[in-house]
Amino acid sequence: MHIILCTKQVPDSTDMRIDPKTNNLIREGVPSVTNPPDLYAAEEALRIKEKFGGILSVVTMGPLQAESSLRELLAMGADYAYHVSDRALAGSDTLATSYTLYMAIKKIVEIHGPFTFIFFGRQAIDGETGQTGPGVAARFGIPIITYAYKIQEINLEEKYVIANRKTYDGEEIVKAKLPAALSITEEASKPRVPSISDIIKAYRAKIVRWNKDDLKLEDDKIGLRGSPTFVKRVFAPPPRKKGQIFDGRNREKDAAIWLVDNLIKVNAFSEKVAEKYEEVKPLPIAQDKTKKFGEVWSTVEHRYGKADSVSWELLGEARRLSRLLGVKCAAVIVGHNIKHLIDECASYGADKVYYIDHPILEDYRTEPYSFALTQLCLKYKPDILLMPGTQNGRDWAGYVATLIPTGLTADGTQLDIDPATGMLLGTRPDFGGNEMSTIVCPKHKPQMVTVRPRVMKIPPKIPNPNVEMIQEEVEIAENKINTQLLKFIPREKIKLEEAKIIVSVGKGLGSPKNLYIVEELAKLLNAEIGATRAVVYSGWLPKDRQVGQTGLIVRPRLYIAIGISGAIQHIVGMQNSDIISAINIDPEAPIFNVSDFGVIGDLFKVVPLLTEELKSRGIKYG
Amino acid sequence: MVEKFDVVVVGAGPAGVSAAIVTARAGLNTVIIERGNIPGEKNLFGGVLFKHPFEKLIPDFVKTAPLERKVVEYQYWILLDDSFIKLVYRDDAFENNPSGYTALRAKFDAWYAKKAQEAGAMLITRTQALEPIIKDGKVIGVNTDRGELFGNIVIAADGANSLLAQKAGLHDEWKPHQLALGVKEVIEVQRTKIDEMFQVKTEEGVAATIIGGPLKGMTGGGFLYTDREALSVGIGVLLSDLVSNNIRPNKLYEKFKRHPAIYPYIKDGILKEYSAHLIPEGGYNAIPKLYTNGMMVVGDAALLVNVVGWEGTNLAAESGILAGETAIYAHKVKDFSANVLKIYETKLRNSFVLRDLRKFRRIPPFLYKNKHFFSSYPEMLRDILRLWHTVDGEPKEIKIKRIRDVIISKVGPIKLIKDISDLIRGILF
Repeated sequence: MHIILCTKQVPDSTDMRIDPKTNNLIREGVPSVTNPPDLYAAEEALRIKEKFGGILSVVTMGPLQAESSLRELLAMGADYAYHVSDRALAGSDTLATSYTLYMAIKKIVEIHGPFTFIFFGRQAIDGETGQTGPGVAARFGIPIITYAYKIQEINLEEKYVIANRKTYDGEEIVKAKLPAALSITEEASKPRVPSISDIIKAYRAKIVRWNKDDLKLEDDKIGLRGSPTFVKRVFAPPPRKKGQIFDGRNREKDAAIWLVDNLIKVNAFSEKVAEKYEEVKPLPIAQDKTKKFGEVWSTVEHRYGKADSVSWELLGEARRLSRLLGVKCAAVIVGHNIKHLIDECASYGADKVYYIDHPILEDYRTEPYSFALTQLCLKYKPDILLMPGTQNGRDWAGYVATLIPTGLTADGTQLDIDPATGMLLGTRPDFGGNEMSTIVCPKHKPQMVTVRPRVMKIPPKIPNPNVEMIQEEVEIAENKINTQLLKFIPREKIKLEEAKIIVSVGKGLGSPKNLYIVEELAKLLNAEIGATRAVVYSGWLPKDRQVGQTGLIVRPRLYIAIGISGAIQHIVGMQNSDIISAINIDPEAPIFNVSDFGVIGDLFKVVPLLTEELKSRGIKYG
Repeated sequence: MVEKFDVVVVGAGPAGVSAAIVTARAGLNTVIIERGNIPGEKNLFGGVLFKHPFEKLIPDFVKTAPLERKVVEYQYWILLDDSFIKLVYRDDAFENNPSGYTALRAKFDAWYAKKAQEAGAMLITRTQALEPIIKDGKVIGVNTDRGELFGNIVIAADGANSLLAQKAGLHDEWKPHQLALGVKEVIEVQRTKIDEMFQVKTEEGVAATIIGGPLKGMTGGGFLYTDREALSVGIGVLLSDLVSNNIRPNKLYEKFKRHPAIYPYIKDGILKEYSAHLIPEGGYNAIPKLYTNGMMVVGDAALLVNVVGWEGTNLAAESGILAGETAIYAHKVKDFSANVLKIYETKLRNSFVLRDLRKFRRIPPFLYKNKHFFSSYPEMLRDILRLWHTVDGEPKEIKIKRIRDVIISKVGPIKLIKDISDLIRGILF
């Protein structure tokens, strides 16, 4: 068996520092490490190799320094290492990267024989797109199981693999025909630590290096030239607006009332909903007849006949962008038995709804969904395509972008139209939000962007009787599809990252016995409980509650920090919350620098009073 | 079958890397293991490093090493609760040929370790040596947290917390009065502001040695060094003094940095780094056995720190060089026993390393026993200066009588003479 692992070297994120003067990420002197998710992918690959016998080839595209990552993987147990390095590759976006890796893997196959698996880490922690895996799979025409955390079964005679993967709404068990690609999450088996003799052997091992000529790469498909997207601007995220602080010492009841008043005023307890519908005016460039902008589309994410609200968030944004360009906006529904969703699309503002209804599209699967959407895009040529940044959305977007081909920006948090050119400007966070970059896709259509749930507001419903419906047919035979959804398991409990309200505790709580104070508040608000690293390390709460640089990055509607001083590593994990409130006895606590509403006071008095006040006002989440 | 090395160096600090450069250049199969993610990560010093041993290995050291500023001015500060006394010494001689440079460990060690790799040494990071592997009374390798490593010679360069030498039986555990705890902050201050505050050009810097203030009554001192775009401010106090005075080092440091002599330099700065490290201060008489069959000990692990000149890095580098040379010879005669390795100690004795430590051997125990040096003398000096500078019409005779009284009451003439003679004996002879 021949397994291929694609890897990337990235800056060590645990060492990230912000230059306090410029607010920019300090990149020099930051050591580079193997992308941590790739180590999990390597572990899975090695386990399969050990079970079935065979070889593991690792390949990376990167500067000369990336060689140390290859040696690390050789030390773990990989057999061969290939390093694609060439100045001409600099500036490659995911399309150019997947092309380069595709060509490299073809050459590796010439040397070692055909592959059974191509493994990827879930995503690189710097670019955070997760698009390269689907891109490479699309080029080989093989299925990919993204966000896989457990491989259940591999059958070499009948040529299939069954794996469990995480989705936004739960878990899927997917069966894919071999050869197949997989991207592995950090919930998979912990990567082995190489022994010193392994490291020494790897140090001495030979690594094959290829440049663009060795792989016969076409100049217009690599590097900047081959990248539909490029980074127009990198900038520091704007600092949070300074919040208000109430000194609640000896005035705890007043503090609780003040806090509740303010939180209600800013709608902390409900979703970010736009109150009334505002139609934006077209930009002057919309009048330019020579420009001929296409439509703005957004896809609908659904399961078992129910659409996820992220679809409406995107549709609202699609409508806004379409008005700026003076064109129509459309919702795109790919699925089976989904006609009833058309009305909902209309009510959230779609001028048009394109839909494909076919039994083969019953469940989301990468290949049929991608063929369908690609067909629609090639036929109707939209200008902009927004897709949800959920696991399935990104899986879908990455594959489609490679098939069309076009540029894809991941996790856009702010979208604008450049008034001079009419191009989409997609701004997105890097390194967990410590840096922002604005990306453009000037020469390819549609300009694709994935947008995560709860970034955009859900638009208000509007009467929309004249929505135009366009039904398309697709011709895909089931025997041509290489994956099968065996089972879907809905999610039992909410993950912290998806919680709408988080009540978080720090060491100020004193002891785990006092957690009940916070649990009452959380229960009332239907909130999830988060924790600082110190609390988790003391064993008061499990690791999946940890918010921070080495824990989870969360973006809830409301984050209440109780007894948390605000170490920078914790702040990095929650600074992007919509609304932050903090309760701490220490007026100098750094948490107050990022909170919108801070209360200086004894949490043992303030929190119960807060709970009481909320109860008395009948506040619940909703 | 694990590859067997000629030389296994434990610790990628200045001592270990110097040894590795020497042995690797001579063609010996050398490996350095380092417990940090990158060399320098687990290391710390004030600090000023002196170029002389490094230039022996790297001729263009001054031009290529990531040094901060060349020290052209040395200052000596005595702090009191209500006053301070500063002595400033600047010399053109150091502008053209400086001896010392301020440096930052994380930057410098990472660069220096690369030099060893360039010479052909293998560097394995994230690996900690737990104990030596001893067979038939010979050290034949080290046991790391990732497996065993074998070599003809092990060079223990694992610093102030060294366990290797201890586990090889070369010494007992250090006592609290043989170790100091150093605490420092690197505070970012604009380069041009530093230039202006200290009246230096951009590549030039100042090194201030500080005693007294909140450190009074304890054996220890503080420092302020100018880095390129930051000030390194710190203290080092005997561990036993921290314990007996029941003072938390961070609280002591906070008081120190807020002293009016220091605070104005740093108050608008931004804290970039806060760190602490142990400093071996036992002095000459506490130096352990430096070698045994198959192993040599260098640098801080061998207690080679000169508390009088505040030199450590240059002693470490020199000891590494000498251990490296010894290792080369041992491989030539194919004998790795203590009989041959004792050449290392001989070389050390003939070099400034042990000669300096021996010269000043009386100072550490003297300072340990005479903590009043850090309190009474500064107070006495202040009182004398204050009396002299208070010009209020009182006749000088009376002033001078008062000065005599101060000397008598603070220290006493006999003690004063004894202290002076001890110091002279300790330093000048």
